[in-house]
Amino acid sequence: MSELHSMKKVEIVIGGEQLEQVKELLAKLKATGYTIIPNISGMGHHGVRTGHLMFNETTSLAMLISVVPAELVEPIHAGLMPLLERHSGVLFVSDVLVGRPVQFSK
Amino acid sequence: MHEAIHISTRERAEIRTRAGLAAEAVAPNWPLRAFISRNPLGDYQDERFEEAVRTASSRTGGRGYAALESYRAWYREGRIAKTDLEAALAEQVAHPDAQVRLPDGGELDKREVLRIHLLQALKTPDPLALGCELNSSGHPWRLDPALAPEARAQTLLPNATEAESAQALWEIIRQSQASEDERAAAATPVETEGARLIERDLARIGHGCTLADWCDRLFGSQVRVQMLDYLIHWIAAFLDQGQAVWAMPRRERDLYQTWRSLAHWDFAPAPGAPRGFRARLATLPDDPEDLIIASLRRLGVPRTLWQDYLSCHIARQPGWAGLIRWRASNPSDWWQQRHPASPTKYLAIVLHLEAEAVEAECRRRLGIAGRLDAIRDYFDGRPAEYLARHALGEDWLPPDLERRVRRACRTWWRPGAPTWHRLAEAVRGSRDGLPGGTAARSAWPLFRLAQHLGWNAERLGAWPQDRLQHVLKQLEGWLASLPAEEHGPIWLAALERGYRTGLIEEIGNAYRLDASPVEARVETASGDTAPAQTESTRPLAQALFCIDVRSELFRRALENLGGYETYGVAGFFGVPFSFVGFNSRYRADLCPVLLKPSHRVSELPRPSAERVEQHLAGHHFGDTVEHALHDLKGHVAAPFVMVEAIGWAFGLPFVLKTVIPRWYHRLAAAAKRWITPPVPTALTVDKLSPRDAQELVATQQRGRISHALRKELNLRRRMVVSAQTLEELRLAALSQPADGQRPQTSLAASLELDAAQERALVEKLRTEYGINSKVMDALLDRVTQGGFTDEEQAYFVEGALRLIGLTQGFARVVLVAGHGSHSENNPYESALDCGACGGDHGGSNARVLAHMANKPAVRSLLTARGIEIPSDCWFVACEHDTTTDSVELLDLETVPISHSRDIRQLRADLVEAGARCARERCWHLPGAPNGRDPRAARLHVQLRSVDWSQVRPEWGLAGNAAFIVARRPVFRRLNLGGRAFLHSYDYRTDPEGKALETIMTAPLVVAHWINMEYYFSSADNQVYGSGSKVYHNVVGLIGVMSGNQSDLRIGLPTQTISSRGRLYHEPMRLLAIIEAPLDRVAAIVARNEVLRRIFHNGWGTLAVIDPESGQILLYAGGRWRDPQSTEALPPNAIERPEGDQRRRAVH
Repeated sequence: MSELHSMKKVEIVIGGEQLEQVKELLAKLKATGYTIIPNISGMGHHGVRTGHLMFNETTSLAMLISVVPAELVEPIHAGLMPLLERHSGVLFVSDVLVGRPVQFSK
Repeated sequence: MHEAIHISTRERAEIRTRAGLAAEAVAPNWPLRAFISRNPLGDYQDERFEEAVRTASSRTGGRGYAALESYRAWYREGRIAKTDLEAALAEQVAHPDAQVRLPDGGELDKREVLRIHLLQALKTPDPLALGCELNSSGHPWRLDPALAPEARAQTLLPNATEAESAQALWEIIRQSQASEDERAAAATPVETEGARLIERDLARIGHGCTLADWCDRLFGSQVRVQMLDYLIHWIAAFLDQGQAVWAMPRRERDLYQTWRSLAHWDFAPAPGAPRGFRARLATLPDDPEDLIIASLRRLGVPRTLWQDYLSCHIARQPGWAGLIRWRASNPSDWWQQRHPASPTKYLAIVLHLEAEAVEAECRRRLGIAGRLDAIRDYFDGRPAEYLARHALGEDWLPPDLERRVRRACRTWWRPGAPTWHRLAEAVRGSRDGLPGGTAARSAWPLFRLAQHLGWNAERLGAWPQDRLQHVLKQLEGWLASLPAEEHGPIWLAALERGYRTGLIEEIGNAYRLDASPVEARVETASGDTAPAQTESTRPLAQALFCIDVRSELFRRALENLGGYETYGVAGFFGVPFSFVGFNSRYRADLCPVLLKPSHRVSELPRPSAERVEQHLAGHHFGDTVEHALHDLKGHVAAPFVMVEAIGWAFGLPFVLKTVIPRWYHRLAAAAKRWITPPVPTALTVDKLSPRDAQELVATQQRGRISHALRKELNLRRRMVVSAQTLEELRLAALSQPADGQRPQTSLAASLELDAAQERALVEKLRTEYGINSKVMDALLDRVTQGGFTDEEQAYFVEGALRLIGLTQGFARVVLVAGHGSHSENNPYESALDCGACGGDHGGSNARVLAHMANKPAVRSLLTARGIEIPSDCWFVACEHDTTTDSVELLDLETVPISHSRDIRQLRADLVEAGARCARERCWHLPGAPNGRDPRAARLHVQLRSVDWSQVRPEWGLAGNAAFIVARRPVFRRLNLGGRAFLHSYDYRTDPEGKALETIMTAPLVVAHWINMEYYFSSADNQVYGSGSKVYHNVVGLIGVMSGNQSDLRIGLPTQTISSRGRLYHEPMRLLAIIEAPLDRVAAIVARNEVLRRIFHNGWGTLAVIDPESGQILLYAGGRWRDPQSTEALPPNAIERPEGDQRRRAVH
């Protein structure tokens, strides 16, 4: 088995309306890739969010997952905090091991 | 200067997000081609309505309620009843039942005093206004001119003139008012007063006020206006979408980089005329984020205020900033991809301009740096100077004193300049020395109140002094408890209460009547009668209309003809798709703007269509002429030669469409038909099979290769290349380039090309003409995105039918009616089109749904899902023109011959219903015939739609106030006056409430936006609306400006909501009435944040008709109550599903 490298996984749950802003933030910070899971459901401070509505893309939540080098976590956190102070959403950061780190860095 | 500042990636990321959030101070502004109604304060909906309008007002200066004079006029006219006003007072004022005992017996109600206050605006007048009411000796020279005759009679003293009576009453009230205020003011040193002013003004920075505003207020400078002027010409040029003859260079960069690279060529003075401005541009940082941070630090704005400070700047130009916000949130927009703009880039420019201008002003006027802390330090030691300068900014100083203060402002640094203390004393003395002084101003409201209460000097003179003072003090306290800025909410509540009570009562009565299944003969307000019809009779036709308020009139007119059942559903019929019309270069998303369609539909000529070539040639000719004329008009030599050369070509149509608009329109339409003969078309609703898709792409590629051969090999035009040869070449280009062993193609053989020449040709096809596997895959992907599979079609048809409860009892004809409008010379035409279709015409959506519902394979699938559409039922698409009330039936080629009679009858009835509808609309249209002749009305509305001088082709959605979700019988008997959005819904077919949840979270929300757009455009047309159409100029094909330069206007024009200076649209928040079990509605509201924000925070009212009990309950501010009561129902009265009881946060 080839060597594994330590990186950070960032998972952001955010309202559909704010998704473009988050994507732009990541692009600006040169987070080179991400996966988006749209129309997700959940419950939190802002109550239940369902995923079967007509205006799902903006009304429901989306999850954005990205794997980034550790030094990008702080700027992502700083960029997201003002957004999460006003709108519903959460940010999870965890350690992950990847085989090809070059796929996830600038 | 900027390079020296260190800014980390972290800070950049944060300020970028803050700039994005700051943009939420204004609503996104869609380009004008698709006018979208939205709530201008949509991002404030986390706050209660009253707080939100206050916050927005502090930023934009916009009023959150109609002008108080409008409410008073409605009160005088009886539109607002006295009982409603009193009820609103009782709900919104603390201790409304308070009373004061009068010395001569009797008691005075607080409610009565406040009612007079609301009607007469008993506020403390400003010194100049009071000066006009008092004579040279400081006495009033007349009684209040607004006094009612009875009150006037009581106020006049026997044997005394009006002036004498007024003077006597004034003396008593004036003297009884303690002059303590005056003495206290005089005793306070001017320094203390000045220090208070400084504290107050600087505390406003970042809370609705910027340093540029502060400069303007104190120095009388024009920094803010200059900044806006400077910005507008840069932003308008950058965001232009094809109107400019000479496009701005270097626009391929983003807004900030373009400005940075070009601004030094702008020789117009920068705002505040700072020295060295152009030279410093070269030192600006590469990143706009860096410039924002540098500028905020340079201005000395505390970090905690950054977010609010940025919001203040965004709110200064809601139009342009709103458009930039829209662009940033739509990265796939064609123009945004090519010329990116974002709030960050915009704010970087704004803040740099401000920092430069404030620095220049402060250096020039005070000799200090343009920083908040420097300003505070300076004035902390000079409060008297601040007091005097502040008075200068308020513009009330007498001329001689104004001259002295101005001189001091210019020469303060010279030896021997007057001391600020003396000047401040003089300023204060002048203020208190104005007629009446401070105490007189505070006595004036009481003086007016006494008159409206019918009190005269004789009566008050008989009261002991201490008792009089007690009463007046009490009255003064009551008046102060309700300052003028809090009158709006009470008036609004009273207006809404009147409408709400009436509508709920009518619906309640209709609901009880509906218990009988037999439909009685219907008589409408307009006198039309309908024949009797029973439920068991199969209707002649069923018709699906948009929920738009204008449909209500048409539906009523059609139903009153008898034999028709109508339904209301969002006008895109639940089928979102993007659409390219025949011969059109533009793609439009025909669905609500919050949806991103994943299906494409194109319009193509029917296989049987003739004269397609002629149509295309005519279209091409028309396009060429239009472009040539446009280019000619913009050419530099045009002013010298064009008028003489071809001016007549413009003059003739100009005269004709002014003098005989209807005839001109017919002539122009005939000419258009001649040049581009109409071609019957069909829509690509069905998805192509993979094989058909391959063949379609291959055909396109062969055409391309044929074109390439003629160009590359100079083949003669007449030489025919066989299809087989083209296919050979296509396959050669699609195969691997390394394939060198391939035998020669037949073309190469016939033209005697050697192997190398053939390889070069194939390579060229591959690289220059896009005949390669990668492009092939992309084309296939695009082609297969077009249309819908049978399963998808069945899903969409089922969804639309279940949503409105039409799942059985189909008529022979089901009419699917989209809508649109036609008007001339109207940049706001799309505001009159279908909002559910993205501000476009809804005919194509109707055609798509009808096509789907008529398809046998779809019907089989529907049958399997429990919706059986009989074989003799045919869905017919049509488009309702809301300006002329004419209806055009579409795709009639597909209607079976068996339905000819039905269509003939339907066509005649639609004409009749349209005429009746036009007649009803004419009663409200200024300048329209208001008689009973439908034909005259029809001719009039037709004229309005082709008259290019008409500023109000129709009223649009003006008047909208309610949204009703119910079965049609609930409101079939009612004349709702074109004020209600109507969505059909049958609670019996939706036990899980999913359809209702869709209705409440989509159409209801859109109706709420439209309602708010009309509300705020009416409340303050200058700030939230776009002002008069007369001054509008289209800019950049993206919006309109007033005059030659202004903010991009948002909202609706004056002519859409008012006429002859009076509001036609009565601004009220949406009243949603839903017929469904109470617990079902309560659960949906509880689990949807968008609804909680609307109904908890007072942006709308929800009423529910509980079908089981027939009871109507209101939901407002998070509680349920009976409409007649103010008491909330106990929580156990609303039974909620188990799942909704869990309400604890997990994150």
